[in-house]
Amino acid sequence: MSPETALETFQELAFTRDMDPAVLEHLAALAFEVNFAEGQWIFRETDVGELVYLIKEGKVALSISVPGQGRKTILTLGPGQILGWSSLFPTGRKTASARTVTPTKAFAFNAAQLREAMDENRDLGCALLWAIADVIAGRLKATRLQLLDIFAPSEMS
Amino acid sequence: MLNTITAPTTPLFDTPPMFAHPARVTAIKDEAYATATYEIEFEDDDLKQHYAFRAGQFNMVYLPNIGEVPISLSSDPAKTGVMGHTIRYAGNVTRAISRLRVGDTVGIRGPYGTAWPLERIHGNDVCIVTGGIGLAPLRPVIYHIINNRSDYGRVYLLYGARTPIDMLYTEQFEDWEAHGIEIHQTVDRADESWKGHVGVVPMMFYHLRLNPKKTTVLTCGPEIMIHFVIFEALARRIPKEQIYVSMERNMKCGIGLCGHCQFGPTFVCKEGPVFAYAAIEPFFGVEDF
Ligand SMILES: Cc1cc2nc3c(=O)[nH]c(=O)nc-3n(C[C@H](O)[C@H](O)[C@H](O)COP(=O)(O)OP(=O)(O)OC[C@H]3O[C@@H](n4cnc5c(N)ncnc54)[C@H](O)[C@@H]3O)c2cc1C
Ligand code: FES
Repeated sequence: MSPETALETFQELAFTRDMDPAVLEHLAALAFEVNFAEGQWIFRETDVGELVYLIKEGKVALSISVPGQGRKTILTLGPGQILGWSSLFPTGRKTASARTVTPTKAFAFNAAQLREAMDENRDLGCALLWAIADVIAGRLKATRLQLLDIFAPSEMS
Repeated sequence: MLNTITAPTTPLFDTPPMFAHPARVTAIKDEAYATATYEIEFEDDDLKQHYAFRAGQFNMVYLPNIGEVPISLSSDPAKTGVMGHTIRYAGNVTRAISRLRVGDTVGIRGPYGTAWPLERIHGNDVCIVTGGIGLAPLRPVIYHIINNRSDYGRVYLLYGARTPIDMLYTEQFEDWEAHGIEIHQTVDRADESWKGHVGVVPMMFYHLRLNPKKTTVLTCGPEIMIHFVIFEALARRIPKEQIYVSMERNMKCGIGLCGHCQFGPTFVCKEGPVFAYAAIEPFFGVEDF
């Protein structure tokens, strides 16, 4: 995929669409396209990840293996959502596993390269950190609601 | 008046307001764990013919010697003669309802309360966001939209449940999709055999690209869920005037007499259950309201 086509797609995807065109151009130059078949593992818990993904098409399930209970899906992600952002942070170790539910296309970024680019190009760094903070805040909110188990059957049923 | 958009309809009955009319259960359909839909018909032919409700309204369902509960109408408002109620067994009265069989009699009075603003939003995209039993008062909206499809733009149903087997009306989803309702289902927990989404229903907004100027959000479910739905809708710049919520409060009279269902300065049975969010914003989510 050419950087021009990547740029056009970024302008459509929720994670990137509000970013400045110059930032998107830089991002497009760093992105490469990856395809996954249905049921393919993208990464596993405790892997040290080198890649960060932005999903273009498809659906990916994040799951955690709970000793004695098997694997539990905790969240599914789709187009315009970022996957594997923990690779950007120092330990880079994955806290959940990611497996495709349907065939999936994504942009991949090398985390080390992306970090370097974020340091060098402050506009890119700032835009990405805001966007990632927004993703983390959203997922934190969702996790809180999930913890409340609001649809649990009432004790009297 | 707090909520001028969806003024209540007056019940048709020419009887004292608290009088419950005998009605017979004609069909029962299990929907999900501890939840079933009851088809109920008035015994009086005249009532049966003339009873009409609007999407979002509720009836008071009475069981002699046990009690009375508000239950939304979940059937097609265009279909006369039969009322549908989808009931989740929560406590005393609803558990007694779970023991009813086809042919048994209950008392019904209604319809009460305000309705979803379906005429007012002609031409708009509609985003229905709900969870669990909250789909029951919104199913009449879906029927209405399907019956009048060209009056509405894109229609989304974002529906959340605890697990896949807790979802209501799933056997109708194919038909709804065939009528252009875009359904996004999600569950709070699932094993790997589930191919749909996992995550709480407000997160489904992340999968849509809505046009905030022409999208109306209709939401019903646990209050805390509604809270998060409003947050996500506002974050997408949907004006608060285009967000409608259906609220629940314990009820006794259902007609604005006893004060049981007070919500801020309003009574849910009369000025609700459907409210424009803009009208209730000052006290929505405020502790003890
Ligand atoms: C306008 C309106 C429409 C409704 N529509 C439906 C519907 O379509 N289907 C349906 O299954 N239920 C509906 N409900 C809720 C239903 O009325 C209650 O579940 C019912 O009143 C509980 O009565 P009960 O005697 O079975 O339980 P109770 O013994 O009174 O209570 C059992 C438990 O449920 C809680 N509870 C009671 N009432 C409510 C309530 N209104 N909201 C939240 N928790 C409550 C109690 O605090 C208690 O923990 C609606 C409520 C309102 C106000
Ligand atoms: S239930 Fe009596 S005032 Fe609303």
